[in-house]
Amino acid sequence: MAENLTKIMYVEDEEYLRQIVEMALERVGGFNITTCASGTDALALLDEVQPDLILLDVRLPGMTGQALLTEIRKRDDFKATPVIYVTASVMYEELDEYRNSDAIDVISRPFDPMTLSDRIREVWERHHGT
Amino acid sequence: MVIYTFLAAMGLSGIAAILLWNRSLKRPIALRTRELQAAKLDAEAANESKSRFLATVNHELRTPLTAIGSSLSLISGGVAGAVPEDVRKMIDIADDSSQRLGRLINDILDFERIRSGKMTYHMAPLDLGEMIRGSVEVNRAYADQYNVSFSLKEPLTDAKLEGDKDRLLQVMANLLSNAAKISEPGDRVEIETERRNGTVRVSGTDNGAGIPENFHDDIFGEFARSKMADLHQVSGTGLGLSISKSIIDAHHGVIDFESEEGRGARFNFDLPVAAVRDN
Repeated sequence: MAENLTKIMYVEDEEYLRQIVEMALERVGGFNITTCASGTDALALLDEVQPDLILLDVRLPGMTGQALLTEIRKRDDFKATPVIYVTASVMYEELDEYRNSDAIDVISRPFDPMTLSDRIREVWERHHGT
Repeated sequence: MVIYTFLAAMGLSGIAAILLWNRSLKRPIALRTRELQAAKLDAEAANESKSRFLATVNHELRTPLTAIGSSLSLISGGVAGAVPEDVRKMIDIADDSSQRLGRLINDILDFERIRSGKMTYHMAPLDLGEMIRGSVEVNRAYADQYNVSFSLKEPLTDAKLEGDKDRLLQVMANLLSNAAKISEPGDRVEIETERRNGTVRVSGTDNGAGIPENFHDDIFGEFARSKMADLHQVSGTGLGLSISKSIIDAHHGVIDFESEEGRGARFNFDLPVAAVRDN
């Protein structure tokens, strides 16, 4: 697992959200971002990008975020890559389900893009116990 | 014995008539049972489709709203370059409106959840005073827009209770925003917490236009908007108090108010002694 958080992969089918998060994490957070529109794209790019952390929209068309995470975990290089789910749901049952999954945290939409980088860094540090 | 005597007295034709009558009854009962089973399945399907509809509406409305709000936030945060003052004012208006739309969507979804019995609560131990202090801080920015201030009298420090913090914060946000909206610029809204006969009471008092008496009975109803709210051009769906009442009811509490037209209003909610644990 990487010591420092530099490369983030964001999987989201909504183009506008991809652009916004890319801008927020690159310009405000100084991260290196790769965006993918689908689970298939993400799986195709994983080896090349080698992300330190993956931001994953739960409700992806086709392969859902959860199905994608299962596929990611089948790859030896990404068995422990921290994943954060992003969801528009406010239903407790769903949020609990995501929290109790393999993901290290859940970010609810709408979020403030100006503080998103801090939030991700905080989750990363908590996960690493620093 | 009585039955046999009765049947013998009736004779065969009488028994045949009863059997026929019995058969003729069974058919409609069987038919009615099938109809009821079909209606039950229809109702379950309708409920399921309503849940799916809610989830879709939630996702489909929130996604563009997130894009709008986030873009505005990035612009006003200077991420896309320096923002001239005039443009910033326009951005603030757009941002405020998108947040309002977000609250509206939340209200409508909550209203539908309550109506369909799908509202869920996460009860956990919480510190009432801390929750109130936090909610007043969070809602101050909203009151600033109306040039209204919040004054919080030293909240209770020893009141722990079992409750759904997010939902109770929602009640506070509703009461505080209502108080701010109805107040005159420069007014102050007083927020207090107190113990009363083993219950904890949270109250907010404003000096706004008050609630007309003929509206008192309807205020916690659905889509309740008084003539005063219309007169004062107060925004909102009229769902907030109805939702707040459902939330307080779910905590086995009571929400109430006192008001006279032209003399402000005091809204309060009490959480029962059973839910309150002293340190």
